[in-house]
Amino acid sequence: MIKETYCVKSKRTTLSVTQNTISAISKSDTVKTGIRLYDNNNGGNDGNGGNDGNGCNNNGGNGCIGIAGAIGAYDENRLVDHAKQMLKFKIPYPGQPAAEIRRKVDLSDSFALTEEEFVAASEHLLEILRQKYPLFSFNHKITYEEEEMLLHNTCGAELSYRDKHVLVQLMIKHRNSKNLYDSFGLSLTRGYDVDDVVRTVGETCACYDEKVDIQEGKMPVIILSDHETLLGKVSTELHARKMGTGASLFSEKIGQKLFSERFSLCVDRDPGEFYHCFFDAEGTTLPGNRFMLIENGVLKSPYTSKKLAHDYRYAVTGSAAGAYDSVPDASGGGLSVMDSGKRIKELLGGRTAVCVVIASGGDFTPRGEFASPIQTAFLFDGDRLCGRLPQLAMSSHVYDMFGKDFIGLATDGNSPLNPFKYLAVDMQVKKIGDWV
Amino acid sequence: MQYTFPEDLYTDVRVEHLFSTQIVYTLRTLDECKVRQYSAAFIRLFDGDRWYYASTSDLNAVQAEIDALAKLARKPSRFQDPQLQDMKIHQNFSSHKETKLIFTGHQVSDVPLEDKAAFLETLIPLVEQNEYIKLWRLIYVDAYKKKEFYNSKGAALTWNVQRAGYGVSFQMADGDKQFRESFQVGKTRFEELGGHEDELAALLTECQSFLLDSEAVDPGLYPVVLAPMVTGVFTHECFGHKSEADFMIGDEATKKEWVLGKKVGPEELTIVESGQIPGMGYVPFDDEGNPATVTYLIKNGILTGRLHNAASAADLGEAVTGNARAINFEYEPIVRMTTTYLDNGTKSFDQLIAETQKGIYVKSISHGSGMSTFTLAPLRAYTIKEGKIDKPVRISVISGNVFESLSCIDGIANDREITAFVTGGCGKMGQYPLPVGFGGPHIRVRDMQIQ
Repeated sequence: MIKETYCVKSKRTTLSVTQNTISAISKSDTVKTGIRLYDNNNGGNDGNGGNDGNGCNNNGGNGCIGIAGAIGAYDENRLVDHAKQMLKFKIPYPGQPAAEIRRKVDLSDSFALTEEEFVAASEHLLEILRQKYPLFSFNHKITYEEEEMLLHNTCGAELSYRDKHVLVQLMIKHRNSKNLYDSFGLSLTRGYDVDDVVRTVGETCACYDEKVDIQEGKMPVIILSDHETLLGKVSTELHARKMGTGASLFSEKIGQKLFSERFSLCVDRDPGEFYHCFFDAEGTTLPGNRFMLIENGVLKSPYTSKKLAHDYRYAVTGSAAGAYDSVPDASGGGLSVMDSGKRIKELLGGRTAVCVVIASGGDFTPRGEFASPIQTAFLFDGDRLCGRLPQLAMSSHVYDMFGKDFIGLATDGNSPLNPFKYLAVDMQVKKIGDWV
Repeated sequence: MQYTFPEDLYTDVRVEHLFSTQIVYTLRTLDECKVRQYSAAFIRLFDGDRWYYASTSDLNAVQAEIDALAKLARKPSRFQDPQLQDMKIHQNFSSHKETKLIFTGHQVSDVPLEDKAAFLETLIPLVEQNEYIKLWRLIYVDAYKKKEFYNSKGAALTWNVQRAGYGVSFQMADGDKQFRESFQVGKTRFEELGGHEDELAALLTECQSFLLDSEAVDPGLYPVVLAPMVTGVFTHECFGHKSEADFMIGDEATKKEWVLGKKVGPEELTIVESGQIPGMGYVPFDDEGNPATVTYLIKNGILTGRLHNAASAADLGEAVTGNARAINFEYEPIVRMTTTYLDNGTKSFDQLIAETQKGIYVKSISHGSGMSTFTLAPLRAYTIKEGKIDKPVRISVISGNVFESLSCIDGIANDREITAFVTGGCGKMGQYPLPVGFGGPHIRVRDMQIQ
């Protein structure tokens, strides 16, 4: 029997922002632990759970997993007993647990802030925003978080990741607006550069009152941070279970060129660039932290957990995710478009674009048709936002968005300190209302 | 539970004891079988100007957390005139003492895990017999939560809430034709879950027709008839979130737009919110210890109420409504809905359809959202032609203007249903999923944008 511990630690100070002021300070320090037991005998294959005596190899696809979890301090013996009890339900786990791998990544020492410094810097940030943009109110959260993920087991795996960041999420509302909010400011950095946050968060405020119009039709649409709005269908359809059962649009199409030569998509576990752990919830690490799923438009692989990779004979892609006490399942959370090597200005080639700040509630049909309202958008000339657009809707099809109409992922975004880059796609854009 | 609360500050402690289960079968394989149990607490302290929060999974550490927060808050510059005790918000904090344990003796924690798994397995043959289903997943979830609440005004409350339910999600395919749908049953007791097999079978048959025969919709403006579940989501997204008054704190434009007494819809339109209704949104006391109320948000087309916590009620000079809710011990309570429904009108569903020459009937959706533009993402939708339901159509999104849509309701049926998404819930300000109930009758809304 193999024993594995998966632990997620988070130490966080969160400031609630109400009408430009800090209305609450919240402190949390949580440790969530899952104990996993892998029983290679449970499926009844070879009697000793493998050929190496400790069960770390070759379970023949008949192993099982039992998990028990705890929040905070726990009695390990009780947790192990609970996990043993869960083994009787015979949850299949045909994959091999991570073995003989030791790696530690600690990015938490790139900067340090005391709680007092964090609160003072945030008060300073809000004061600048208040003075610079008096017609707007800023609300929501500023978070300073140190997180740590650990996975170790009796097969010699010992992985740890530690990181620290400041996340600014501010809903921006014009004082005369009837909306709940009109724009959104986002910054995620290792460090707290208040001037950079002011510039990125305030970018949309600076040109909010400049109302500009566009001609309806096909034009570049760019999205900075929420690429999932456009990538959602690709992400959903690339799930190994959907692919393997024939329920995906992309089933039976591995090896086919489905998209533009310029479109490549990978599982990216580079913690330096993407602020997430270099190993997945099963302890899988990737060579070069990357696994290509779509390369130059050609479908290479779905994303998988070890179980799904085994069940449907795909490669293990390091895409397992789940709560501390869950059986890991494949997740599209770490998918990333490969950048084009070009800045957004070059990608647009002199064309102006619709820069989407808020597009909420749209969706794809099961067959890939896409439509979404755009609640807040600005005209973008390749260098800067030039004015606010009226209420718009965008539409396309998944094969067009990442096929003939795919422009590319830029190497730049609105801040060199943030991980967000512009994703550009030509889409049909239509006006559905006035400036709110 | 006895705590020593610091003087001259407001303090409350919310303790929650959770038992929950999740069982998942995918294509006959057991993918998840999980029991989660914990006891934990969230502590709040208010110094008259700013809140201080902490959470802990060590109930023996609650007093230490209170003391630590008090040190943070005890800064003389923070104290203002009037004194905290005289502030309106302080008057809105609870001083109730009550115990309300309606699920004792019917707790899902008393049902063996094997029985829950066995119940789910009874549904497998139903799903497996459809030849077009390529992927299916059955999920059973339950949660029993006992809460305790204590504060420096003397409130001492104990209550429990519970939910149990299951979801069947499935993906049909026939070549390049794809269709997905789900079926959910949400109750408050395990023993109430059976007896919905015929509904599931009928849904599978309908979805098969939809897979094979649906056509892309012609985009444009249409009158749209919404099924009761869709009406519930429309009400929740399009109007419910706008009635959450924390968005109005210090915001004069919003206060002016949503001033009570304003006519916002037809005479027949009434929208009600209540934490007293049995189901997913049953919240006898909110997470500030205030009891659930029945709030008429709209009565006969007139804006008559909104949802509050202690802070928003103080800011707007209105009464608390018992709508301060947090998803769990790690979060602070914010203003949230409980069960929100659009009340019955006088027409029948058949009348609504018969009166529509050319329109769309939306029977189910995958999600909805509501900002200035609200959206509904339909799954099963049909054209209405000359007063009759006609062909199945594929629609990406239905949208409309939040500020105009209520006045575009031109027909309300008398067949109200209240339901919930038992495997999901409502999301707001990073707190997801919160169990809520929603519902209404069939309604018809003019001029909705179909894409």
